Amino acid sequence: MPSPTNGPRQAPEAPAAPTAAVVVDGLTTGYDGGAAIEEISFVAARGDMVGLIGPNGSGKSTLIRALLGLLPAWTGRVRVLGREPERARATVGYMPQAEHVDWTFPITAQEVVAMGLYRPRLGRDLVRLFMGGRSPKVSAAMERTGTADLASEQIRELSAGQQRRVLLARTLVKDPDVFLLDEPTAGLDVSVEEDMLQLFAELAAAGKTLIVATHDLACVYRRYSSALCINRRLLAFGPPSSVLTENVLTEAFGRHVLVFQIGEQMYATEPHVDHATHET
Amino acid sequence: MDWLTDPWHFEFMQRALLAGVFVAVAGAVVGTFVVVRGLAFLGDAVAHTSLAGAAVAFLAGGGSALISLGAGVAAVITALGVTTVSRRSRVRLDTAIAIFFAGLFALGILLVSRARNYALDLNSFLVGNILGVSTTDLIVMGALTAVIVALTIYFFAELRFVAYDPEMAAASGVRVGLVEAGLLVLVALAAVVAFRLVGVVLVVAMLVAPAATASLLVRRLPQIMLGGIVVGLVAVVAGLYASFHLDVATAPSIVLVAVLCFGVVFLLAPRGLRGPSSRGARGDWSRPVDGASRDQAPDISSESPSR
Repeated sequence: MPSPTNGPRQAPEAPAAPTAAVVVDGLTTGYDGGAAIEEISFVAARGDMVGLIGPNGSGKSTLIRALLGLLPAWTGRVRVLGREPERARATVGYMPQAEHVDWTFPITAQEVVAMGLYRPRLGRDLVRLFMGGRSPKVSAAMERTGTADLASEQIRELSAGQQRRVLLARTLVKDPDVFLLDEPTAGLDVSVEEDMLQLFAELAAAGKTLIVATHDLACVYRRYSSALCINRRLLAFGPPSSVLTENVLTEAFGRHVLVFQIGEQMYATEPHVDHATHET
Repeated sequence: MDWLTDPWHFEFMQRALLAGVFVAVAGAVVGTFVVVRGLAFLGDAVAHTSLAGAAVAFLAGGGSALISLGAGVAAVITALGVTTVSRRSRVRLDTAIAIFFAGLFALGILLVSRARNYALDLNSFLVGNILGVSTTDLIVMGALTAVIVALTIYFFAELRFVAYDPEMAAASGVRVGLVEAGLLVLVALAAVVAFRLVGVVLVVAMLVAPAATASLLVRRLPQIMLGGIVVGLVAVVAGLYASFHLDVATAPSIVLVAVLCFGVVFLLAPRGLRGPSSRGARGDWSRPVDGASRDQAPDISSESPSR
């Protein structure tokens, strides 16, 4: 539960700047087992495209869940578009990790996308409910993600890339101002990833705020407006070039990380390990 | 063609048919969620433990309506107790189910054995008794079925959303815990509808078999519900005929027809519809909504899951 005495430590009371879309101030939260993130503070402006990076278990999903109001702040404060997260849900679009979704569920792509329009009161729209969610908004969102021709397909029959596009369409359908995307491109081939990144850029250009959990450091470096590196605590926040440094990444990932640049490309890799995050 | 019409000259067969219609409807509507969420074992436990409540009500001198109420209370206690125990402890869901199942079922049998002097037949509770379906029973079953159908239609969006993606549902403002508890209550109510006709032991068959059969043929939840009702009705009617003409027990006849339907459809359904599950069976009920246990190892090299 929020306790004012433990509250803002680093940042002064953030002035309600009209451009601040997401304000996180000294946030500590977690689960029964203990705190998963501690003392996180940052401000994302409208039009920002924030790459949320950190190793597995660093609290990226926890932070997103706190921004959704699914986890209460133990200390500190979260504001989304000036409101408490629970009250901002109508303006927030969330895309969960694909592996958390039950892809065997008997449901069509269109019905999944229509779920994005769910509002507690609109749940009573019985006709639309049983008609499988046809609506202009649903069609538009599916058009935009290239899934329009998949509308009546069962989700289990879609490819991984198509499934991800459907999830993104569900996020887009209510036209939110803030997007919280949990590893939207993980495991996808480059063409789908590129489509998504282009769409993200369009959204950011339209003044939407995106916070995207990702492991693709090189992509964050090149395509995002800022990077937020956490490992339970905030390690760095700012322009990608200032965050994606050897010092920060080595601290984040708990082992030495080499960062080097060739031309416009940025590479991060571990010495002695045959694994690199790099551009293709 | 007398064999077709003969059975229905008997009032008990007419009652059994009407009871069967209620069981088919309640079973398929709730059973659809039981099937897509992998709740069969919980449904079975809920049905068995309703015996304890029914026995208590009977020992207290209650009539049909009170016995159904008692069964319902016990069923709801099991459903909610199981979830509470598995949520608030490290006890796995299926373990919690088995504990409640065993404990309350044993209590039920114990109580019924105590009441034997009063001519309460344990068998009729365990495997159903179509002769025992009274007018009051029919009214209770009909009313409960109406409540089940109404609640399912009214809360269909929430039930489906939570079944499919509880995390996203919570993020969209659905009260996930409430919806999950509500679904369990629906399972309990369906068990109460079914146990008079097929007995507590076989209730799970009427929850699972018709909806599972339909899920092999059609692919949307409302279709699965309607298809499940059709399969359930076929099972009830064919089972009653078989029972009448072959002079065998009714409940197992109905259940065997339902299971046979599943078997036939499973063998004949087009491969594409039957479709292998790409991710295997999932005990979705136990899926932690918080996901706190994920991603513990800080390991730069374990990237995204390969799909």
